[in-house]
Amino acid sequence: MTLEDLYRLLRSGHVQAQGVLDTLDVPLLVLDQGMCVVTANPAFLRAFKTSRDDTVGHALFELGNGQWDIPDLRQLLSSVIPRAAAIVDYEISHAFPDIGERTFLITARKLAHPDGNSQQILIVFTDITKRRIDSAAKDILLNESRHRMKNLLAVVRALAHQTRTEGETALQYRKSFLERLDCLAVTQELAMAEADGVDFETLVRQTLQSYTDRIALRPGANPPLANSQVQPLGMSLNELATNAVKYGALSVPDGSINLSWEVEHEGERQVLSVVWTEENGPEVDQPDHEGFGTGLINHSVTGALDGEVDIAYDKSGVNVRIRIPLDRNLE
Amino acid sequence: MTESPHDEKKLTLLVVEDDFLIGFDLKRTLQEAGHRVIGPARKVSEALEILKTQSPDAAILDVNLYGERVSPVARLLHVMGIPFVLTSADEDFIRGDDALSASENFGKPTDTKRLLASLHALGETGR
Repeated sequence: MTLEDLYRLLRSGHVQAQGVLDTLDVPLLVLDQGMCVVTANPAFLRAFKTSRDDTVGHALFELGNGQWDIPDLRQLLSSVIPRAAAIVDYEISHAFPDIGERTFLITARKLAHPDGNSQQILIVFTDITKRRIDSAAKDILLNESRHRMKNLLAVVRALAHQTRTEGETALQYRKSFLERLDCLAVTQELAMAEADGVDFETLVRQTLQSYTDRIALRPGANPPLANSQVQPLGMSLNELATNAVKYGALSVPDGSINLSWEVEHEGERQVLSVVWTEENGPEVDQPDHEGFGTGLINHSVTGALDGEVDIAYDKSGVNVRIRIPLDRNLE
Repeated sequence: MTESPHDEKKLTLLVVEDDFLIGFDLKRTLQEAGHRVIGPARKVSEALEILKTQSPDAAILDVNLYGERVSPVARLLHVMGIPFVLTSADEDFIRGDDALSASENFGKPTDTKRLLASLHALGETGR
């Protein structure tokens, strides 16, 4: 049965109409010209936690201690009667004493009675409170992901901007940039994937996967990392490897790297101590200026990780010591 | 009157930014332009701590710092008479905040050219 059929039934005053109203799931009221309730269906009584006796025969605006005396609703109904217009999906939000803050779409329509004298109004209430809350939550989520996307673009821009151009061919630039971008993607994935955070060994294996045949891992205790530590630490490891390929032990066939780590206890504090030792590479000298790699490592470890880093350019190869506190969590 | 870059007033700038890569780029970009950089401070508390002992010529603020608003830093800068600009991806966040809504936002990704030009102008007026 369509609403149209229902209106026809109601207009004809057919006895079936009452039965139809009763079975409908949607809260409905029929009002007389004086805004007095003629009919309230069970769905209405349920939705507004009221009884038939308290509703039928009472003026709408006096129901439930005047909880329906809503200026918008008054305005709406007073405009329906004189103009004989149907009003469809008019949104009203109101705080009801018994059922709380609700948002309804109200459809009101004048019903012509067969006797031609009395005029009644049928009001249909559609509760869209949950729909509104859901859509607000979706808006927040959308806004959040838009914000994150912009942030990520800003990060990519920072990488592109900081990747060295002086003395590099476009091909070299692209290779360096893409390696960093790949590392960013891997660490981003790791930081987001695990709710309890990723452990250090997993981070090492993931960020150094293209170098594993040349880097000997000497694992110690395997601490979990805070999400905020994953990217700065992963990117730093990647820069160490990149520099080793360009200038250090991995730039020659015989060179190799030892990567060991341990968790040390300093009183209450736990410190992750990482040692990166390059061997059998070319003789290295302290560079005359800070490149992107060492700059990023210094910035990440002392800034984002609140740790310490020492990069020694020994004759036998680069030796890097990184110490970061584990018992902190910014998020 | 045009001036060569060497005549531009070099500024001491406080950078407040929670993302380490964006902070790294901003710091280096500002340094390359000849400015002195304090920070990046990554948290509100860190920035407030810095402002206890140092008084930069201007500040560049990210707005959302690990979910915390930068507003207390902005209010302190107001009191200290230090101008600041914003680099935030979230315009809605700024609009609803009295401490921030009057400030220029260079957005994210940040238009660093425009940011540097604005800082240059700041140096010319001598705050």
